[in-house]
Amino acid sequence: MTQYIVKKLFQALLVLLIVTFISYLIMELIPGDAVDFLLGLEATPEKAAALRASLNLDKPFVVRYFIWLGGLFRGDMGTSIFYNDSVANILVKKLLVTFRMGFAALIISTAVGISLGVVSAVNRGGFWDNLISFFANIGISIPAFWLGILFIILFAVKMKVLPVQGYTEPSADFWMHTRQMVMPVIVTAVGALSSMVRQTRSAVLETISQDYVRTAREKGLRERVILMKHVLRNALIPILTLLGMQVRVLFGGVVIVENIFAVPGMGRLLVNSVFNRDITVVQGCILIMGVVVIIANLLVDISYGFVDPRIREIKDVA
Amino acid sequence: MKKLKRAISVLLALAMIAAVMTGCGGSGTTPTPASTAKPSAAAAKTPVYGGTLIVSQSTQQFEDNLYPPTAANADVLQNARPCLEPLLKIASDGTLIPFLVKEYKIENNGQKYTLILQQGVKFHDGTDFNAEAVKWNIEQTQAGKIQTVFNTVKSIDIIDNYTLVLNMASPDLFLLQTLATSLPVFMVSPTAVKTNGAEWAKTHPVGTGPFKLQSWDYGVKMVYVKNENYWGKDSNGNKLPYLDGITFKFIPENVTSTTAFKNGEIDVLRALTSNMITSLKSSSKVTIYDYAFLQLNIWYPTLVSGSKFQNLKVRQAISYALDIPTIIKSLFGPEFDSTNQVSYPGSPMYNKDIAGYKYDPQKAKQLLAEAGYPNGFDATIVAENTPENSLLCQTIQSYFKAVGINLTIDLADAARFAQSVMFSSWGDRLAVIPFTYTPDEIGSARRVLNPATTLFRSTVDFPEKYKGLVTNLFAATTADAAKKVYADMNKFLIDEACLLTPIYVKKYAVAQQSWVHGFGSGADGEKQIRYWSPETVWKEKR
Repeated sequence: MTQYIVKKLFQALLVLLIVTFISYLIMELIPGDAVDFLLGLEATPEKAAALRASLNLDKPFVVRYFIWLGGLFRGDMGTSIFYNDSVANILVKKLLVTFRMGFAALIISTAVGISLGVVSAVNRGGFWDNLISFFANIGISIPAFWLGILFIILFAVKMKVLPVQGYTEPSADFWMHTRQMVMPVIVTAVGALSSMVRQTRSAVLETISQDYVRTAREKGLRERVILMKHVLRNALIPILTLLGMQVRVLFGGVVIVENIFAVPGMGRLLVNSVFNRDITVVQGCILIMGVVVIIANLLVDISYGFVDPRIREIKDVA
Repeated sequence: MKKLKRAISVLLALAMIAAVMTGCGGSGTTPTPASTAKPSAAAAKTPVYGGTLIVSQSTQQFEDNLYPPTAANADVLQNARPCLEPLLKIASDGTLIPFLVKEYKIENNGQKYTLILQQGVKFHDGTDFNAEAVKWNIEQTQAGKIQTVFNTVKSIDIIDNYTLVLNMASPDLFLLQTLATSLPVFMVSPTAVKTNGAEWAKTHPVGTGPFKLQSWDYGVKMVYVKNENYWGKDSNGNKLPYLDGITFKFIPENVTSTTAFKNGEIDVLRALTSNMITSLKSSSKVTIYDYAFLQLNIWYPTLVSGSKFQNLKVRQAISYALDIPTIIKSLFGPEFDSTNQVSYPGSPMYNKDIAGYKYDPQKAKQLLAEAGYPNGFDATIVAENTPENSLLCQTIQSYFKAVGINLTIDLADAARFAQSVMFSSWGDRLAVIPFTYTPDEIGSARRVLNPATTLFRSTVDFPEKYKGLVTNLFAATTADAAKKVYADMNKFLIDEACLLTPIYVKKYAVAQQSWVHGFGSGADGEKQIRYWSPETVWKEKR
């Protein structure tokens, strides 16, 4: 198992290198650079050229990439051209915001999604199954932007129980922070939750008709035990796979929600940095997102072995 | 039913747990949230102390530099104003109001300016605001070579600690107006900049203003807190400022910011779009102010060798091919207006004698035929990629098609537009370029329409006659003379040379809650949103 993890980590490193190179290349292919923003529209071409040289932006793309990569190996993510601050400093603040929101959404979508999926499968064709499937389909189809606006109108304008927008650090005002986070977290969670419901339902339905489940019933085991020990555990593999994919969506794709509710997270930083051509910040964001996704996938891979001993044996043999 | 209740309870509990979990860890500050109590009518009569003013707009693009000698974006005038102050203030009718300069004297037809400064004013770092500081600030702007407002200042003599004389290389009628309206005349502490460097000063403005910048998360939030040692007093001798703080919040989604404003979470909402204005106008408690702040023009590449746009008849044909008033009325909202010159209807600089080019597709076709293009031609138009420009270019495309011009649209994002249009020749293409009225048409013309300094000089061929008019503008010694020269410049640019086709004038609109008072410094007070006075702003207790 250790060998397997080490091998996966090496693969992850390679993937990260490729991802950062591609993102650097894409940024290079987009015309314009940060100097255009730094100097403003009334600056002279001479000043632009001088600043470009001082920021190494006049060097070939490959050279700049390796300068950045070299810094990364020394633990230096570089300095933001635009913010004139360490990229690590900038990212830590933003990452914390996105992480809080994404993590809460992940907990909700997983816990509620699996529970409702099981309820739906167990009551196949019944009232609860139809009701849950109906809302799950809506949840998957509804755009986050639209749902966010609906939430604002309902909870902030009509009911006046939540603020429309904003982000407050929990240490500054915990209650305000919690109130401000309710809508963004739920809006972020809805899509993932709905996918989880559908995936769980289908996995449980597939497992529930297996011979060993019938045997367990014949043996007189209680329905709850059958469900938890025999059905759910065997249905977990596709659910775990989906969970790994949702981490990427929840941490990398929250930019729309961050924009709607004016939450200063990493998604918003990434978009602004692309527009500002702040390549070091863009690279930092891509790197962090890549690391989060790779860790999530690795954890999912490892958890397969715990959920299903047969997979662990195959990995050990390999 | 019991099962349903239990399920709902579990869901609510999970939601609560997740919401609470988001509250673990972290640190920072936050503005006081707005309460929902109703405004008190009695409190509206006299200013009251306290409260934080929440000002919001959608983005903070191009505003990363708050160091006036090198900052280029005029929008900083608004966001830096709580901590940086100008030498003079200006009313919207153009009247100059003494401020950090308490008296001034103009001699020798604008060749010599004597400035007498307020005494007892200190920068936020505790150092004195005096003649040395003003001289140093002016010299930094001159050395920066980005802002040209002090180019005509030849030398500066310090008479005493609070008096200095500016000796001009040539008469400059607009110097004092510039001192009231340009970013470089926002005074910063020389000691702070010398100690920490100009780079540091870009994000750490140390001025004499009523508020100090406490934190700045670029594009997200700027938090200003009260300067307890502020020098200013109101007309009754009460200490200023009234507010405890000012927070600028940048909310990217207009729907969100409009709703937050309606909900009372925001006191002042800036840079309103048409949809926002329409949405807010229905509320009687909201006041909307606006002023013309930029216009959009199509510029022709007359300097590009072999360009068909070097032919005057082609440029005129294009102007005749567009029904500008109809386009603007049908495409855009209440903050847009059409114009036929480099000015806006209602402005003192507006030249009513300019004939312009009224929509006449037959005449356009005839001119194209005379120019040797009876079947039209292919052309490209480049514009910054904004929803407005996209809509506009598509409409222009259809109008052009009617006269035989097959137009390709190139919408460039801000960086590419800056690089390929503003910083270099945009080649044999039509270019849609904004012109801001900062501080007014003449002030902007002195920078943007001056053939010697304009960024257009590598693409647009300014004829000698026009260059002569610009020289006359700089040499004008009275406001009326300058206005007349500007009118002649405008007539030449449009009617005679047709170097550009004006498209629209855009107003900058701001919505203000009924409980906010004290904006502006001029006769019409609260309409002065551009050159606002944060020290006099106050909020009713709610």
